[in-house]
This record gives sequence, structure tokens and C-alpha cells, in this order.
Amino acid sequence: MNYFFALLGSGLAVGAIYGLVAIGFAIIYRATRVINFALGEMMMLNAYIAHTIGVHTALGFWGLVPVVIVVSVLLGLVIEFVLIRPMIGEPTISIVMMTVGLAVFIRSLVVLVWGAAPLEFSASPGDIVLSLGPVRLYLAQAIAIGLLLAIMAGFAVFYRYTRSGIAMRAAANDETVALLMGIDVRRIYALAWVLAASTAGLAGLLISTIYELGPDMSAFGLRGFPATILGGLDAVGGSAAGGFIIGILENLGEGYVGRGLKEIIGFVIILVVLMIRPFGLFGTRNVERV
Amino acid sequence: MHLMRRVAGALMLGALAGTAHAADPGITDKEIKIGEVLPLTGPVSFAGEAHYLGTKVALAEANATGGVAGRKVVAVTEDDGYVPARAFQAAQKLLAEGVFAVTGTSGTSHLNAMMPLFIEQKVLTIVSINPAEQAYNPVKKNIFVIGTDYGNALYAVVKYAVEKLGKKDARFGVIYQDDDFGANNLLGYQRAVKDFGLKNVLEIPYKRGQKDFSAEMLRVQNENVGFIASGGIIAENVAIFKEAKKLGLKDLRVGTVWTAHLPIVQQLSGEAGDGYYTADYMADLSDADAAPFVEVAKKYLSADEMKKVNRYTMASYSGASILIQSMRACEKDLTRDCVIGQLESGKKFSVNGATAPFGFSPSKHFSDSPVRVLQNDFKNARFVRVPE
Repeated sequence: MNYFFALLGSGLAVGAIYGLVAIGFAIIYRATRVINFALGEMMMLNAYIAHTIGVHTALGFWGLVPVVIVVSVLLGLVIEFVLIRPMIGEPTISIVMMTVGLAVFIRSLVVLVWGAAPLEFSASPGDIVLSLGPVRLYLAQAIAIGLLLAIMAGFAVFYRYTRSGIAMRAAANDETVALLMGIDVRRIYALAWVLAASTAGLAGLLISTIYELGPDMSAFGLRGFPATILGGLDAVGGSAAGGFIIGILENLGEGYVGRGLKEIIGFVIILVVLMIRPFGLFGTRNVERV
Repeated sequence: MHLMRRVAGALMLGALAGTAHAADPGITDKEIKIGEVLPLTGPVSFAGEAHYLGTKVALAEANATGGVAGRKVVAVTEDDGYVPARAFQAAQKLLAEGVFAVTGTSGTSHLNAMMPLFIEQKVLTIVSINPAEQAYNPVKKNIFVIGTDYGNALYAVVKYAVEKLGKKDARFGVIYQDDDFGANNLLGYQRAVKDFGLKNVLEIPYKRGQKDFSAEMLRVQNENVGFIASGGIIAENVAIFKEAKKLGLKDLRVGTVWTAHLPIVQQLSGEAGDGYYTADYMADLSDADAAPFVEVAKKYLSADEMKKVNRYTMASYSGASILIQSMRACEKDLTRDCVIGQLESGKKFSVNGATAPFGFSPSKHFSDSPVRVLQNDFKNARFVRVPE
């Protein structure tokens, strides 16, 4: 039983990272109906910028958290203003393809500026290992779990009680009606990109701390996508829960079955969910009147 | 009439000499051109850059002492970005430019892409960055490989664990990448298990690029494994060391192949990696054997370049060095055939202690160099050769 709980605990830690990225997918999709395939790369770029700032300012992990958020906000705003806003009204597939192009651009930029070799990310919250029964986690992993839970709660409050959150929900339900009601939909789009970039940025900081900083971390970030499909593309909290579920299933799959099952289980889940419940476990079912 | 015959004879000899030179590209009266295809960018650029520096040292050393028969040896280096298709294009470019030999051959799949070209055009090729079996088994007349099998390296660390660490009765496991590299590692591990009659309780494959090894290491803990053979490359080894530390596996010993004999692995794994074992046919820079090489490298490289020097620098230095030694032995008949004859003469080549002296024969174009087991000394940023 100890083994089971140990796998569960480490699965939660990995799942928290997936969840932080998955939230980013869901926020943007919910507001704009666009899947941002550059999210993993935005996460990576953020982490590299944080690394550079950390090296030059000797800021520690906690000092870098606000830095990452500020950089994310700026990055999200620039991308939304320069690339997304001019494409409003274009077919969704065009915008999605643009995000694919953006992903390639960011990957190349990172290699050009920082090189391709992995870098040591020294701004760690410490090598402290926390024990809870059979579960042993590095402090950064525990922070990832706590942070995801806090962000889930934060978004629940945001969507329910704040003007911006309610406006976001309105725009997601019906963009035209929202416009007629005086909601600045462009501002909502920008806010969605900023929020998504921020959660992804925090995920990037944590991945760099727990593992290491390298150009391949964008692929790790993309593993949050199955979590979004599982939780529901338009369900922010559901996507976070999807991250936890996939992380746990991956670890249990490897722990009890092995043979590389953990690497494919997320994508198997995508196939199954798309066949049985295309809108995800917590997503909104779209009913079209004909 | 006699005069006419003599003149005609001289002209024919001249023409024949010209033909001999024309048959072997890359040689002029003033220089000998060699080529390299290296991953100077991309995920293993640290290996490509280090390899480039090794060739640079060998050529500078040779040119400072008269080159080869008065000719300067120069290298043309092409970057393949660690993409096999680009490696093929780079090889085509080198051959179009005309190179006498190739001493940089990038990764395994990259070499596989270029090899048919090298064989078809009979380009003398020395593989030193990655001792791929496809290059020496079966023997190709113009291709020579320095190194040993990854499997031999993993075998060596397991053997060390059994014979010197008292792990004979321990439970053994292996974590390996699910590709050719990993299969090679697995074979070496399985051979050691069979030879020493070990308790093999875990064989865990992983996909290339995997970052999280928490579940794998929990299996290691759950199975009470005492020695794990790690077939990781860089990030995978680092993740395995960190997980072992997190789980408090103090009695677990980890052995790897030479992909972990790199400063980057040492730095990224930090204290978690202190004490891991690695096996390599190249000496560590801190090893007394490698002192002559380090001295030469310091002479021809800047301080910044010296920071990039690692085992791959020694490997390429070895390759370029034996090429130069063989070319010098062929001074009067500088053809690929003559150099190949020198390489496969059975003579032992010495390369300033970068690796143990080695040689080839007509039936064996693989140095099959002896492996040394090294232990990571994190605090002193070096790898210490363990007592054999």
C-alpha cells in the first residue's frame, strides 16, 4: 500500500505541472475558441528569461515568482497585440496555425540566444525533501501541487465573482451578445492570453527547478494538452484536475505495468475521451439546434 | 629518338602522378583538407563543439611541427544541427569541395545517413565521436572506428560493482532508452548479469526525451535494487540521480556509460550525483595519463575554449592525431590507400594519453579500446579513476 501512495504522491507532483499548463490551454480556448499550440514554448521562453534575470540579479526562487508573472503578462500582451488581434475574424484554423508557427519561432529563438544544451537553474527553493508517510517530494514539487490548487480556487472565484471573470464567461458564451452588452471583447482576449501566459510561466519556473532548463521542456509542457482534453477544453478547473488525473495514471501505469506505458497513457486518454465524451469530463456540451 | 622516348616517358610519369593526386581529393602542394560533420548546434552541441576543438588541437600541433610533408593540414567543418538529413547534405558538400578524409561524423543515425556516400566515394573516414557498430561490423575498407561498444561500458561498471563494491548478492536493475543506444546498453547489462550470475529484477525502458523518472525510481526502491545500470544520456541520468536522492536510497549505487562522463551532467545533478560511476575509454581531464593531452590543448586553445573541452575533445583529438601520424608515414606516397595501409598495419598509435594506445588490422577496423571505470567527485568537479 505504501508503494501505491508513493506513486500517487509523485503522480500528483507531475500532474500539477501538467495542470498548470492545461489551465493555460483552457483559459485561451474558453475565451477565444483557439488552441494555443505555442503555450509550451511560451512557458519555456519565460523560464529562460527568468533564468537570465536570476543569474544577473541573484534573485532566489521566491524573488523570481513575481518576475515570471510580470514577464508573462508582457509576453502575453505582446503576442496578443502583435499576432492575435490582427487575426480576429479570421478562421480559427488560421489562428491555430499561427500559434504553431509561433512555437517554431520561439524554439529557434531560444536555441539562438541561450544555446541548445541544458542549463543549471540555480534559483531553487532548496533541496529540502518533504515526507508524508511513504510520499517523498522535493519542496518545489509540493509548491507545484499547492500552487495549482490555489490557482484552481482563484479561477473559480475569478469567474464567479469578478467583473472581468463574468465578462469572460459572457464573451465565451456568445461573443456578439457580449459586444452588444458593452463588453470589450478585445480586452477579454488580451486578458485570457495574459492569464494563460502567467500560469504557463509559473509551470516553466517549476519545471526548470524540479528538472532542468532546456529547449526540450516545451515538449514536456505540451503534455498538459491531454489534461485539457480530459478535463474539458473550456473547463479551467477541469483541466487542472485533468492534469492531476493524467499524472497519477502515468505513475500508476509505470509503477504497476511499466514498459513505457507512462509515455503514451496521456494520448490514449485523448483518444478514449474524444470518442466517449468529446467535451471532456468537466467541459460544456455544445448543443446545436437544427 | 631516345630523347623523344625519354620525354614521352617523363610526361607519362607526370600524368600518372597527376592522376594519383586527382584520384585522392583534398591534397594540393600546400595543404591537405579534411572534413567534419558535427552537431555544432542542437541538443548535443556541447559534444560537437568539444569535438571541433579536439581536431583544432591535433591540426595546430601537427602544423606547428611542419604539417605533413610540408603541407598544412586544414579542416572544413559543417554543422548538421543533429539532423540526419542535414548531415547527409553536409557530407555531400564536403565531398563536392574535396576532402582527403573525414574525421567528424556526428551521431549514429547521422553516420548511417552519410556512410553510403563515404563508402561509394572511398573517403577515408575516422569515426571518433560515436563508436557505432554499423561502421565497423562488417569491416569497411575506408572506415575506422575509435572507441568501444556502449554495452562494454555498462558491462564494465556492473563488473566493478560485483568485484569491487561487493554487490554480487545485490538485486540489479537497468533503465534504458528504447532505441539502438538503449538496446546496446541493455545487451551489455544482460551479458554481465549472465556472466556474473546476478539477480536481475528490473529492466525499465523509457522514451527518449522523458524528464520525470519518479515512478521508475519508486520501482527501484520497491524492488530493493542495490545497483542500477543507467542507460541515460544527460537529463535522464540527472533525473535518476535526483530521484534516488529524494527517495533516500543511500545504499543504491548507480553506474552509467560515458554519456555521463561530462561536466554538464556533473553540474546539473549537483550533490545528488556525487559518487555515481561511469565507464569510458577516454581518460578524465584530471587523470595523470591525460596530462600530456591537456598540456597540448592549453597550448593551442584559449581559456574560453578550454572551458568547453571534455571527453569528446579527446576523442576527436585521437582520431585526427592517428590520421596525421598515418599521413606522415605515407609522406612519399600520400594516398588514401597508403594511409589505410598504415592504419591497419597493426601499429599501436599513441595519442598523448587521451586514451590507451590502440591499433587496427585489415580484419578489424575497430579500436575496441579498454574501458576505465570512473567515479564522480562532485566537490572537486572531476571524475576519479577507481582502483582496478
